[in-house]
Amino acid sequence: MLFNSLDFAIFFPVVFILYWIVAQHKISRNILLLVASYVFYGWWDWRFLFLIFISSLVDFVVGQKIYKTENKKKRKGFLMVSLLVNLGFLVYFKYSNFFIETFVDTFRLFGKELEVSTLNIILPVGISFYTFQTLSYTIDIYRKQLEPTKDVLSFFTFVAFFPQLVAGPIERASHLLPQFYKTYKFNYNQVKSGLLLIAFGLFKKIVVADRVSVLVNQVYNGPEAYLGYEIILATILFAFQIYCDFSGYSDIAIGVGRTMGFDLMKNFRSPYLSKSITEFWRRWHISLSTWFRDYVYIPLGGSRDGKYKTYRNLFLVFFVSGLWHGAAMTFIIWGAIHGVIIVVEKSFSKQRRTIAKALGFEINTVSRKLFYIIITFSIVCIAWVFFRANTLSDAITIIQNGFHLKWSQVLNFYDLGLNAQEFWTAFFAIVLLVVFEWTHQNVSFTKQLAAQPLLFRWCFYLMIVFTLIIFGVYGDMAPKEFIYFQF
Amino acid sequence: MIKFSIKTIIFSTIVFLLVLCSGKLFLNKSNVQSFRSEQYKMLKGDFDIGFFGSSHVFCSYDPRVFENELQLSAYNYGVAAQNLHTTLAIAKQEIKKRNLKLGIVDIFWETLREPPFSNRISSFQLQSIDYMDFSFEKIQLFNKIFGRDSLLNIFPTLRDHALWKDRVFQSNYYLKTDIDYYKGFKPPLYFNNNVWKNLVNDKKIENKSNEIDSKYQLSLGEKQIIDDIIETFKKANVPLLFVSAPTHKKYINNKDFNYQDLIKVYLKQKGANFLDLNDYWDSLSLHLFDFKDDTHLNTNGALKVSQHLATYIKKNYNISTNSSIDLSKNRYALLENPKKNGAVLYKKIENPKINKQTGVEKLILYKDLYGRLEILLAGDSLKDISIEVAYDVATNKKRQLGKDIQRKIKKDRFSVKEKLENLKNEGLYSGYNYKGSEFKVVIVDCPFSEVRNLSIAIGDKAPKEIVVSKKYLKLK
Repeated sequence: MLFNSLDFAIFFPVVFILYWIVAQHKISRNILLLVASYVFYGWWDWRFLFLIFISSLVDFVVGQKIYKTENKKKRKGFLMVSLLVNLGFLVYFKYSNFFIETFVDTFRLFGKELEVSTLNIILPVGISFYTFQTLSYTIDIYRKQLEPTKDVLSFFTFVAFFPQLVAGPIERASHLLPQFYKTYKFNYNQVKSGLLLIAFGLFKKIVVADRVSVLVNQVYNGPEAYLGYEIILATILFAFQIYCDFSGYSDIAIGVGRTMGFDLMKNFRSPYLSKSITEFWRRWHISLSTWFRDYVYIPLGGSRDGKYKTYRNLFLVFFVSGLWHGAAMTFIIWGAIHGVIIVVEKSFSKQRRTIAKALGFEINTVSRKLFYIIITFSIVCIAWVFFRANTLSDAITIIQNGFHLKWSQVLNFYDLGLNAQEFWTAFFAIVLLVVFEWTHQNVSFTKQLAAQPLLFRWCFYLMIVFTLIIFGVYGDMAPKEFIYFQF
Repeated sequence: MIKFSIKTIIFSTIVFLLVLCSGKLFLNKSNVQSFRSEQYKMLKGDFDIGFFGSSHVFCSYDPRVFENELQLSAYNYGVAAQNLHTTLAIAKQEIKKRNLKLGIVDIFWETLREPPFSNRISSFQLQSIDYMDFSFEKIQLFNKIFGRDSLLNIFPTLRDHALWKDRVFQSNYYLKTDIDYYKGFKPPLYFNNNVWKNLVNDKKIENKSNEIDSKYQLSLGEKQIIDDIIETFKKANVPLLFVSAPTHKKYINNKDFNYQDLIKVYLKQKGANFLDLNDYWDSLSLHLFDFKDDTHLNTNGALKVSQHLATYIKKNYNISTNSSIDLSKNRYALLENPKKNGAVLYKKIENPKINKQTGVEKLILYKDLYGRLEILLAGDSLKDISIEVAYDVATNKKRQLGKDIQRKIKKDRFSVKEKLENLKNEGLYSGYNYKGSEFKVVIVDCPFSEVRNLSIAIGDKAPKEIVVSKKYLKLK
């Protein structure tokens, strides 16, 4: 079920009402949430519910076993079971074909043609997200950072919790699981703030992301036909598309959770206002970057074993992160670019400051911040080319064509799939979004709004609803899914 | 929780009402349906007779004839490609709303099609549905035609939100001077030989001979919708007459005729009254000049058909009414008795030269239902007439005018020259014939009150003789 669908518009109010009817009775509440979550997921393909069920069951049992055993070998053995089952599903469903294709391509490089056909496998939606979420539970127990739960219902609900099931945020058991043990009283302000967040997420998704996707798709699906500024425009718009698509989903997920009393972790903090790639990853998909930090970077040694091993570990984390995003060479290169830049940033942090100073940017000035923001955004955009391109050769074509700059290309902007009305709607929506994020980095908008008179607040709510209705892209022509569902 | 529930209900209601009300902004204002809907709302009171159906209806049944001959108010609800499912929903609404005394439903094979329709036919139904009041019937109908998944599209604001710029800033429908508008009726005013020839040449109309299986029977769905219509009128205790407007018999295919037979048999079986006007081709003296195209009449054909139908109603139905009828906008009432019925100007042409050249004996000016100036030229036997109407235009404040007039609106003198030709070379056409006298019509698309220094000149080959000269027009 999609957040931006009529099905969800009916599903959520029904669940919301039932939820608050049974909210004070923990078991009934959790049964309702589990059933609702399974319905939500099964709406696509009920057969994949078995995967979630098996993952939940294995990790629940393994968690108990690890906790009860002091024998290191046995503990490791149990952890391996959890890793094998969860990563096994992930590798089989997501990476089998990629590995087969890579295998065949490698032999082709040496002039040998292998006759191996790929498997006919459907990728279960959100498998990367719930696999990581449930894995963190067993790993934390193994590390003795978490006690296993005895409440099987809460655990199953934690794994399948519908707001964040298919595209995160990837929650840690230590943060989310205890929330299923508690009951909540209806909090008017919390529900209101959740609904506002849902509206904000929908704005990002249906007003910005789905609108600009038309232009981005046109250029990226036929890159050989576009040059210079057309490519630059499409790439910048893709940067906003993917941000609005993904952070929009996260906002809706957090908002939906909040309306039911749950606190899901923040997943984005205005990432395009970052002044370095290192900072970018502290602001972009926070739940994933912290997951990689805690379960990949630190186990690899983190920054404990000297400069070069730190660089290696950093690079490896981003390499794996690229692979996590998709089973294709383009994603691996995207991850590798980020890895390399982060290593470069670490190695040349002093030189970076010197260059800025030499260019006349004084410390702590807006111009210096802007300079860093623009440089960082440009690097992120170049990396996005690999992320978005359908194939590696498309990505190379896009990079090559991007250098053929001619002012006349600006005149073609309305021929890229968005007419003048749509183009300027997208432009103003993005400007509005950037200004909003810039001005509200440390200010709570909900509190600001709450301080306004009732009439103003209601007019504002109506304005939001009608902005979504009139400027939203929905109906037959609208893109159907969130980009991150594929990961 | 209670506070939240109350606020949610109030907020949702406001949003719903705003979506409902804003729908009007998102309708295609340059479409004739939008104009018709505005005019419909301006007509107060009950309608005694309602004509329902497709474009056959709005091209065939002229409410003026029924008002003049039966002294009953009438409204033509016909909308292009309207299916009987849509017709039923509209009839249900209008029977109550306008207190109908007689319902006339036009039926032929195309109106009987069952959902799901093609995209084209479905979108045509919107021209009716969008202007219906919001009701459970409307939701049911929308669901039947477009399906559950498209149900939210019932609100034009949601359906056409992406067209906000075009729709909100769109200019209104321009009335056309070659269309004969009156209470939903809107056929072309005259036979257009060029249009007809193009239709034939482009093979948009051709002598058809597609045969259907003689064993073909009306489907259960087709029978059901007929039954539902009969039942609806019966329940409301409103007499119902099914009719079929004539189509050009040369260009009509066997399928249509076979269908007409099936409809006839079924309606007889159900005890419903049915008047197939195709059966009166000869007695109505229908001719090519009575048609717009192979399946639609023009004003001339509609006049013949409406007179015949009015006579039929007079003979078979006894309808009493309390509604008062304003005949001052009724062309036929004015032709019969211009002074009594409030013509703005009635002039006998006493110039023997003009009488001889053009056959025009009297000239009637009146303000039509839409505030335009209509000129009637009448005589026993009209010939070719050239007419020039010239006037100054005062600043327009009220109505969206045609672009040609807008250009002239800056107090330039505006003139319309028309040649109202007889088509004797082609056949028999001379002019409209109403109760023994012939007449022709010229419509001036300028708000009546804004016409200044009007002069009308007529002649045979050129409009040489000024027959009317007025500083301004005043209603009597």
